[in-house]
Amino acid sequence: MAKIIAVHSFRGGTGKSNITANLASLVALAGHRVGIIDTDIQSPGIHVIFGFNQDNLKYALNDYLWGNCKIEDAAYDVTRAAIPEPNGDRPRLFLIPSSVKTGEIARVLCDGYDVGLLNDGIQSVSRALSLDYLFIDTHPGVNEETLLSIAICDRFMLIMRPDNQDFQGTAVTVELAHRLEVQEILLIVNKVPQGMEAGMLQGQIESTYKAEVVGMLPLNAEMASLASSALFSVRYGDHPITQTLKGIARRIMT
Amino acid sequence: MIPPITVHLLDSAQGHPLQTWKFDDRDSVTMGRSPDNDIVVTDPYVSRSHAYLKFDGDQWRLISLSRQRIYFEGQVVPEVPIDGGTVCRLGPHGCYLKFDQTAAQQDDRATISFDASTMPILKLDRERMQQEVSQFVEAPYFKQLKEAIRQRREQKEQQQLEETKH
Repeated sequence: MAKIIAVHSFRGGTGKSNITANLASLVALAGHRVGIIDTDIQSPGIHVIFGFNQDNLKYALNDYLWGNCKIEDAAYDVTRAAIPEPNGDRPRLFLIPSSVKTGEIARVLCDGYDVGLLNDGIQSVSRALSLDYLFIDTHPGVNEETLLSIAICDRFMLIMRPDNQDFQGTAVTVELAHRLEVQEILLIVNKVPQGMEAGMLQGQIESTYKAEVVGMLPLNAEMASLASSALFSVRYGDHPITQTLKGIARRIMT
Repeated sequence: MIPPITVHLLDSAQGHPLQTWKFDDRDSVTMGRSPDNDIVVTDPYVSRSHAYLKFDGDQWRLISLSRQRIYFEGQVVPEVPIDGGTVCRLGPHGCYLKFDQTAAQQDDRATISFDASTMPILKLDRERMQQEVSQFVEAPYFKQLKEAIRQRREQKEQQQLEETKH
């Protein structure tokens, strides 16, 4: 059975997709078969990090949800983004993107989709690709799809920035996760400004949320400039941020 | 001339100083759970002899004596140089201490003065949070989901039980 890691943030712009892509790659590099599914159908983004655009995506998650294909048909092997010359069946990294086509996005917004079908898809793609880990890159905010991701995951990872709006909004999601009896809630604080007392911040967040802060990432110009064009942990293998990300990846695998 | 050092024990949730110690004319200060330390903290997660402060001729340094180590800015470190307002945690679950090399001039000021830097960094409106949580929790979808999880958990337990029987 694949371990499911749902990655969520209360607002957009926390670096969720970027962190998800990097963590999934690092977990794969440790010798696993890893999938990433972009359930942020309304504002997809993670495909960009792996070099996809409207023209080179045949099928997307949307096609599965409309019954046009099997979910594994929408899975792309992106191992080469993390490892130049992969061989064997491990490590492997797969991406199930959401459609970038505006018509497809509009259709979801207008018609909605069966969230139950998403659950079935997550289970069957894990089996079909023999995944060890599956990362769900969720839509920001709380909706039925987020709640489903919380309910079915083994680890719920929340990414927040150290500001009051995120602190308030994340508190709601954490409380919902506690009520859905999630096995483990892991918090990542991203874009911590220089000079902010990280230790105290961590203590305040942990004691308020009753959840573990597994990593604090600084506001970083290199990461921001690389943004969503490539994997930071691959490009800057020895960077302190990569070391922190590796620590989080190890925590996910324990 | 050794600069005086001030140590605040912080309430971890709020960052308020709970207790303050000030040391003049000393070049080392010990801290831990054991009563023979200069700073005694009654925290079960702190070691009996956890760490000590040492003036190295230039500045104060906090040095770990315990396998529980010191946590500084989220990292485990053996030693931390003290600048103005350095906050460290004694062990992964221990208390937070704030260190000030440039201490207040008057002995009694540290304990009664208002220090904005130890105020909580983030604010949470709990009442608003509870209101928003109940909006979700009372919705039919949330109830369905909870019921589905409960059933799945029961099935899993049943399966495990049957597996152990065989």
